[in-house]
Amino acid sequence: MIVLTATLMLLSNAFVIEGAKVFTGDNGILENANVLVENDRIVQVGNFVPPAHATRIDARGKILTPGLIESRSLAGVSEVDAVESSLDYSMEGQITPALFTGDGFNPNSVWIPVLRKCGITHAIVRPFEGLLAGTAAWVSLQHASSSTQPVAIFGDATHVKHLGGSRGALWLTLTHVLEDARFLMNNTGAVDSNRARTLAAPLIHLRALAPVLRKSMPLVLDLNRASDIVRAVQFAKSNHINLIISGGAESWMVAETLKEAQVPVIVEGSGQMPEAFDRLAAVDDLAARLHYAGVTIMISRGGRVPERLRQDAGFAIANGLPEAAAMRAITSTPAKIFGHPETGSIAPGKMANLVLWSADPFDTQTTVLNMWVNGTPQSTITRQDLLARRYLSK
Amino acid sequence: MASGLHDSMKRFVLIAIAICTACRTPTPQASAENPKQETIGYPAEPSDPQRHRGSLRILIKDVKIMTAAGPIYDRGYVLIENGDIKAVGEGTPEALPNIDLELGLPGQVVTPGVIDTHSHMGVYPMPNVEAHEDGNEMSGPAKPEVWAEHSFWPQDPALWRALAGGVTTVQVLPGSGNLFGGRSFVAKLRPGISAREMRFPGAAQGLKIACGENPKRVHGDKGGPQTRMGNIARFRHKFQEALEYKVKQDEFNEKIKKWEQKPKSTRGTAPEPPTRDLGLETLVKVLRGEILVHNHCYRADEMHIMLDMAKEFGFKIRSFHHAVEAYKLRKRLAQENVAVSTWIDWWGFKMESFDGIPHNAAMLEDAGAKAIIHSDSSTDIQHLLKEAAKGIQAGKEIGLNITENQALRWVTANPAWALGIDKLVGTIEVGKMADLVIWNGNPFGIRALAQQVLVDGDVVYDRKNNVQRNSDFELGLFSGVKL
Repeated sequence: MIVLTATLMLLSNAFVIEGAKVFTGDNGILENANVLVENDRIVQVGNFVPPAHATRIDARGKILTPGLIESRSLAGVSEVDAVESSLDYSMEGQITPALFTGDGFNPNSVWIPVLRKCGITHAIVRPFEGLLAGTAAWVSLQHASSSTQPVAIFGDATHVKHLGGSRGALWLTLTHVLEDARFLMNNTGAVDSNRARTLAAPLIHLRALAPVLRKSMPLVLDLNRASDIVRAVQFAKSNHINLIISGGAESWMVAETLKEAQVPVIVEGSGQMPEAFDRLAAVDDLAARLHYAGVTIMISRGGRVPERLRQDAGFAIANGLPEAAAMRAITSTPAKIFGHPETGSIAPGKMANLVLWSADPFDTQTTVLNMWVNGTPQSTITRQDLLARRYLSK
Repeated sequence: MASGLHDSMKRFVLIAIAICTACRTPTPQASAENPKQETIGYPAEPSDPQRHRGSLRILIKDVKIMTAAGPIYDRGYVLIENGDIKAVGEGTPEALPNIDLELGLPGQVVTPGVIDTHSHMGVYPMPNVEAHEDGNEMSGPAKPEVWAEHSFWPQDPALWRALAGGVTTVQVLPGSGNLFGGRSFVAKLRPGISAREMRFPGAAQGLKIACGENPKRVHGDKGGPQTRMGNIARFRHKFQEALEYKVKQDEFNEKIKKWEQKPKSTRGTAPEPPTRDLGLETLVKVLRGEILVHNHCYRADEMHIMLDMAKEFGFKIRSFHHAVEAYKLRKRLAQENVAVSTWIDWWGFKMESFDGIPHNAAMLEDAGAKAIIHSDSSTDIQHLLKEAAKGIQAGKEIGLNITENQALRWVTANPAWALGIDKLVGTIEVGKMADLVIWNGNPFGIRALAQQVLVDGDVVYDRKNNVQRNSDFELGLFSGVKL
């Protein structure tokens, strides 16, 4: 009897986080709310009497948010940037959409606990270096989780020099590749019986573009100059694909076009600088400008000092972005856009991917007190913490 | 017409101030404990610009003042006169006559201007194009003869953005591709049209040296060094040459002194100075303590080696830069009074940065060493106080209680010491230069932005007027669009 009860308790993981200020991720902010989790899902949110069987976690005065999501991560595919053999995000060539970052994802990377410590529970691990560089993987940063799912094709369209020398050449190449991918999709038999024309890329890569052509996957293009972004929107329209702009330093200048075409933009919350000729109109308040113009935004660090995701969202707030919008940009928006609406927000039925913060999640003096992925508590102890402890007594 | 008259009057006033100043106080002397001494027998190096002094009498009141010198005034004031801090304290001073400008609002916080020991602004300016790559003279591993100020482009758009982030003084360094990168210079972020105009009057130059991966990577295939031991061997060769050159200089100085003491009729021709070597001249200035050594060095074992080597040749390392493993030798760094310019969360991008931890600064502070948060980035320089805030937090996690005054010193007083200008800037104390930032809230908070930045008692940045894009390069781009 005793054994049976214990087993039932183990099987039924139920806990309630009580009295926190809850950033729901998409429905704004709830003051002093309870969140009930059973097993891996959120069951109830709001003011309710917690059921007796649920473990109670006092979160009064603290802040609960969905697990944060990095939209352009290199987690698990880049260990030490300067060590070539530790990098798994690219492939020789410009048109390599079949390269799947999930194939190289290392769940034992030292970076993963570091990202958890910064409140990040999920990441879109992107490929790099190529006009159509590859297929990005949706990964969970849950301890030892190695599940990866393809969610988008990523391409870097900022390096014109490598692509025939001009912007015009770049769009010709992209048009050619998509045309052939469509031809292939519609004429499998022709290729199989060796009657196809010469194709713009190897079959395996053209086939990998089918989900983009079917609109079941977005195409994410790194682009910054306003005119390039307008050209990309035209391209997406004429090819009937879902486009996402990444970078978008000058996207605010063409916000109307983006809003109308419903093209979201992945931006950085800081570091908007005239670093290159394609971003001379960079502005500190890029995220706020796009938000107020009605453009959907995501905020991302893009691999560089990935610990600073929430800090970057904080900078966007300092520069005029409303808090709730900043939270959406690092939770529910990427979750929905990259096909994982079961996470990224706090509502009944959603996966219990949650972070309890000591205070304002955007502030750099705040820490993660607790983190759950799929209802399971996660450690946030890093190799860096162990190093600090080792030398503290010396 | 009117403005012409105004300008000339202003000039007259400035000259008058300059003369008066010269009467009362000596020009700030080189910072490094040893005063600057020109080598006898050679042409003198170009001199510093005249110290600029703002002409307005400014009162900042009703604000919280974090002095970085210890005291924090919850509702205090600062009085600025003649470009310097004339008074600072709690409350409001007795009615002050002749105030030209009043600043400050309740809720605002005043700190000293932020000082960054590690910037490549101007030598790697924006936009990042090949034509702008002027920070590393990698035509050989030892280039102590090059000067960062000769590469510095004062129109780098990043300079104005750093200013908008509350930065008032930077050390502009050559890069780390060489063992000896060359001379750095300290600049005030008072935009000008030449490096010399922006040079911090009285600040010593620095020497950038680099150990570890970069020099051996850059020069490994170009005649070396190929290894870390090769790095150190070349350092020792060069410093040995410098010691020998210094002996020659000293002998010559003795000779010329004796020659000068002789009566003119019996003197004969003056002794010839030794053949000038501009590179060794820099190193001799290092040996004499006139140029401060800034050592790019990541690993603890290499910092130990560099400290031993400095002892061997009789010079001081003023600050290690990057130094992500400084926490492993924090006691020695405290004992030998070597400052550490580091980041909070840049690590893991190369092997020698793999053991970087966010607790580094807090652990150094705990050991009594001088911790500094530097940027090495034209972006991160804009939010150094936010970086310091993360250091407070990291300390808390391992039981170290870093005060806001201490963390503020990581980006003000301590970098001022590392650059040898701590008598002049870095805290809000009477007599120091009026380099100040007025923030719209807790400056460690993510939401705080600099509202006004003062350099030498002039309001050089005001958020209201968006002078962030004042570089000539940015003039007229996107005219008609509100950037």
